[in-house]
Amino acid sequence: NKQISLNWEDFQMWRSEYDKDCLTFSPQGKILQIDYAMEAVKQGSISIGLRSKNFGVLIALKRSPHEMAGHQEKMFDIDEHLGMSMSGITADGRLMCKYLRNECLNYKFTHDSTHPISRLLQKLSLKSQIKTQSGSKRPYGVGVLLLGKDASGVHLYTSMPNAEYFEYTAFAIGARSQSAKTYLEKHFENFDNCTLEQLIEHGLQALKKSETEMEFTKENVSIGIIGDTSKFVKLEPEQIEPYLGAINTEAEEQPMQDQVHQK
Amino acid sequence: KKKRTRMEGKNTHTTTPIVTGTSVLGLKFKDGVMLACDTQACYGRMTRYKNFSRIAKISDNTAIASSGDMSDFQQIVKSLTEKRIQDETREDLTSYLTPSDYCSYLSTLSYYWRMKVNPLLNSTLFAGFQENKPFLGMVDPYGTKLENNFFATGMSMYFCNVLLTEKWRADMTKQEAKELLESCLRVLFYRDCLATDKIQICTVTTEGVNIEEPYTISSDWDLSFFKKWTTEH
Repeated sequence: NKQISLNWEDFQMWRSEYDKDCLTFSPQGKILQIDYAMEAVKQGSISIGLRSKNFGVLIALKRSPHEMAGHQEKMFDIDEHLGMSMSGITADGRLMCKYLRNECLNYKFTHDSTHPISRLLQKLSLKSQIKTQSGSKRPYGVGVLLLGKDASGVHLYTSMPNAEYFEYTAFAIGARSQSAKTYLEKHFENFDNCTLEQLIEHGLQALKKSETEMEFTKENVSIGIIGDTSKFVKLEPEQIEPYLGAINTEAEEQPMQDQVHQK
Repeated sequence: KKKRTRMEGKNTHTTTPIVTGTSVLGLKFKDGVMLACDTQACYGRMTRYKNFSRIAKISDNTAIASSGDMSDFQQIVKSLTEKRIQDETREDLTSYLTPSDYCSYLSTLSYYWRMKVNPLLNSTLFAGFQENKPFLGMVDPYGTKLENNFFATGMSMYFCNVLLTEKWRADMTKQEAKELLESCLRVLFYRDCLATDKIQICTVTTEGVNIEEPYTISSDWDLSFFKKWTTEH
């Protein structure tokens, strides 16, 4: 029976006087609680988003707490023109999803048209910001990738616990997202020339880069797409399976050919 | 019609209009949409205000015109202008609201007030340009929202729908559209007690909203019908 004793010296190393709440700045000019909230996003499993002018793809890796359990859903549709994938504390993410769905529904009811995406992000970031400036609140512990389509084409946005939101051509959040981002950085300039199929393949290759040893199944991968004429749709497990063959091969990985170099 | 008052607090619900404007007409033509109405606001049967504009510009691509209670019209203009300002003053400095968004918004408001038995006593026409296509919509006091190629509200429903149905074509020029609307307003001047011959036209095209100065339309009283009516009957 090994007793784990908490050493006062060990405790001192990690303790900080400036991280008790969101109301305190550290001498380096950081609000440590918000930084810690950003860390929570990195603990979540990866979400990847990428888009061309007319198509967009969200890919998420789902975790299962136990082999007897199912996998945690992290990709949701918000409205016909908008979908999201989260990384981090999924309970916070589901609440965010509920809020976004409600806002879109209200807008639809009043205006009979879809909610402009950047406006929705503004509302969400305002909500996130309030939680970063109170003694009795904590920031959201979840980062969100929003993929949506409006009159000017397809857009990918990200919203983080520090209440900042940015638009991206391609991005990845969550555990080991840096490897996926590196892959996307190499190929993103070509995405406008890609078909939807090619975008999905790029996204899955980025996923493979982040989790080289994992076996991808239709249970643990989510793919969401939005297109020129289609609304946001999460692919059924049977529709996902054909794509997984390319990233599950034991053999030497074929590098993705960019459209420019193909015949 | 009796004015309904309730003794609960200071609420007084009105189901009858006080200062009113008569009909509004609108139609789509080849390059855009045109609204027309007269510039008169009546107090019951009395011609009270002879220079009252019943057309308003809401945004660069939307204009409205209302018949019915004019204080409600002014309130509608305020609400829609507020909506436009909120839309334009966001950090992304982009305007997202289209004419059909404004139309849907007013229909939701109108329905809301109607369900409180305190209706917005207006039939409002929305003229606009969105996605390179002309838009013409109408909201009635019940909150119904309709879209069509031409509209006639108020008294003109009875007199002018026939004229518009017969003469309207999708490829009308601006001049033809103006003449058709003038002929409708002329009929109204002859037949509607509350109508006048000083009219105002508003055109919405890709170039934006243009509300012209009011002018008097011609009318012919030199008809034997009118002469005989007064001398022989």
